[in-house]
Amino acid sequence: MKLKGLTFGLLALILLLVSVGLTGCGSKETVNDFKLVKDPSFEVENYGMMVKKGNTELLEKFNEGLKIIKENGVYDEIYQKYFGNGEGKSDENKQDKNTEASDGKVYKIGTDAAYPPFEKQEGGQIVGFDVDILAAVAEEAGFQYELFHAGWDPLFDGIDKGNIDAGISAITITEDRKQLYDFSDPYFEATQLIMVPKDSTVASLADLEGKKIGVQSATTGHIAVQEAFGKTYEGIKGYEDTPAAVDDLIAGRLDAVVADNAVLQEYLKVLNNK
Amino acid sequence: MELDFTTFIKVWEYRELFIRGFFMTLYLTSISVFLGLILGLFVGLSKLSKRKLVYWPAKIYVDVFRGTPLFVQILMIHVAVIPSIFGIFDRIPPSAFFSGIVALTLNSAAYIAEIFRGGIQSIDKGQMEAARSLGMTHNQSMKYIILPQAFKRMLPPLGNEFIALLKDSSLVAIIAVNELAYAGFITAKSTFYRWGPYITVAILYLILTMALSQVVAYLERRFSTE
Amino acid sequence: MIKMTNVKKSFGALEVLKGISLQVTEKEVVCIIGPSGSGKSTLLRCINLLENVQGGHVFVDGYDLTNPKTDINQVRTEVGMVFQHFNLFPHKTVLENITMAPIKVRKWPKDKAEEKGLALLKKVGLSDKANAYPDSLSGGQKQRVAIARALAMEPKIMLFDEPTSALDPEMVKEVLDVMKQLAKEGMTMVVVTHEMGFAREVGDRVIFMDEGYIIEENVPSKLFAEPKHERTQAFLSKVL
Repeated sequence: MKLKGLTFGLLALILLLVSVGLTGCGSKETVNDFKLVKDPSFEVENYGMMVKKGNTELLEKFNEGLKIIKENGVYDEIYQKYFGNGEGKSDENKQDKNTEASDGKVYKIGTDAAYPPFEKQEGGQIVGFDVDILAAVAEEAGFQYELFHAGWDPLFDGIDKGNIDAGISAITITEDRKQLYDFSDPYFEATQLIMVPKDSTVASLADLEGKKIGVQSATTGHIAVQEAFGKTYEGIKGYEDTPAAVDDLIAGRLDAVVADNAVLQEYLKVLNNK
Repeated sequence: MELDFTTFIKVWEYRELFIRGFFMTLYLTSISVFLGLILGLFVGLSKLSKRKLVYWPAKIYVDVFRGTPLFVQILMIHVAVIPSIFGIFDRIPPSAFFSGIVALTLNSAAYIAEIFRGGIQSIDKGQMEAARSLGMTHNQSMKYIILPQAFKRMLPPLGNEFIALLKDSSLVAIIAVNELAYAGFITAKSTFYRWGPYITVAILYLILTMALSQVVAYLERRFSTE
Repeated sequence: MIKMTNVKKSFGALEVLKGISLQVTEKEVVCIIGPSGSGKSTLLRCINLLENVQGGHVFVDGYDLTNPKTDINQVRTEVGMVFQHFNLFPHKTVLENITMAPIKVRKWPKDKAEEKGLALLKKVGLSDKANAYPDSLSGGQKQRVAIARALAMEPKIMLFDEPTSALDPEMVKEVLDVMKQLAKEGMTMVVVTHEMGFAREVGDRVIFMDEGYIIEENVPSKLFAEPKHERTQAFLSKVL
């Protein structure tokens, strides 16, 4: 069979495709450095530990412990470990479950371990910011607990039915949820941030007019961008998750990503350590 | 989730996304089908080659692209393959639209290659022998005798492949290409109304596939009477 | 015109031709007979290299076909072939079937090719079918078109591979008549056939093949009347 010509044709086609793509875009200045920009219009959300309405006993213990660790610097250590620039004293956290129990009751605490850096599963264990905070609080307040992965909807359901005593899972304290559940004092402030290349002049959300903005679909960040530039603004790129949006920002396909501070801070930390 | 009229008011609010998505899907599919046909013909012919250096790359290509999910191919091409290739030349990778075209073209070419190969092999061996015995070269015999006959037999499966590709193009929504399914996802997620956006998307896809079936049926009629 | 020396051909483990030597001179009509599976068709197909030979040499019109440098396509334009199953091009009209190779291979202008094509159709008695499609023709008509198609290239040699085997009995004659006419005009022909009457009447020489060997060859009157070899006798006693 005389297929030399065909094979060359095939190669030519591939080359054509690549070259068309190559000429279609500018030269890349290697962007590895990113920064996070705040916008005053972004609302702040507070995360709290959630219990069944009226279960004040556990809430009081939680608030007490939280107060202590915020005063004695343990909270800051944990915060630095997860959201600092990687310089935090990331000593091995003492996760020894408190043994000097006051009344011997073991609280069942559920989480949805799929939201790093707050909680994720690693080698069969649940780890993350929430986990460390819970451990520190329990140590100070003196209670015993068992933390397990429940999943988001079953967590709410379990608390309703009384199978689960409390949930700690980056749960935002909202007016709607307050009608049904009781919340501890906030232990984390969540807000939206804009991630842009370090040399970008973007200083607020308004500066992103006309640019390609990556978001995780239907998240607070997505809604904020929709409110700023219109629901059907062509530049909004809605992704299934934030890392996918950040991938395209790093690749140079996007001008900015608007997402949760915790996620972006964690990402920045990873990028800077690369 | 109840089906009520508000859901369609929500769709109307987001109509620009759907209009843009409709034409984007059409555009995406047309380009991919066109490029897929050209590439598929080459690969299909290569798969008929007796030369190992031509046959094996074609076989591996077809096996890989038919044997792995399109979804995975889209993700790999978008986040890994294309950025890496463009990284070598120190260029910014092009938009998700480009990645979508590349993924859909490569995938459909693998299926089209098999359709071509099957179509060519279904033509009686005697046709090639008759053409060769008249002194025609292999390429002439292919071009004037085998391919025109094979093409007629390939039309129905090619038509099916185009319709499948039109529907599969919805998968590029995952890399945030503004096509039809993406319009549905975004509207549904943003409004918390599920029925309206997805019914609208389904109807628009149905309009596209039915129109395409008509075109394929027309072509089949035309070529069968010849 | 054709010279084969010790030609061998196998399909996998099956040896089909076990050393065939054969010579055909210009204007000679050679008929090959023998039981099915004896290698007659394969032998014929080796003459225009539709089958690659594995041993020996095939010379056609002075070209050595087994030499890789020989332009096989060039040789094939000099050798017309008619197949058992006609192998007409179904997507082309009768006339297009005939003019295709002259236009594409000989680079004739379309008018010239069509003029020739119509003349050939007249010769095989199918002038009225020029614009018909092969599917609308009877078997005998198809085979006559196939002969016209081969003749359009103005070959020096015509090969016939059981041209009447796939035909209904009443159509055999119309095809044989065309072949007889050709023979009369002095065409060099090699015919693989089961038509003993034709072989006897038209053949200058008859070759009997069995199990990959040429068993016996002679002028038809001798071979049919007094076959020397017992396998020839056995075969002839069955078919005559």
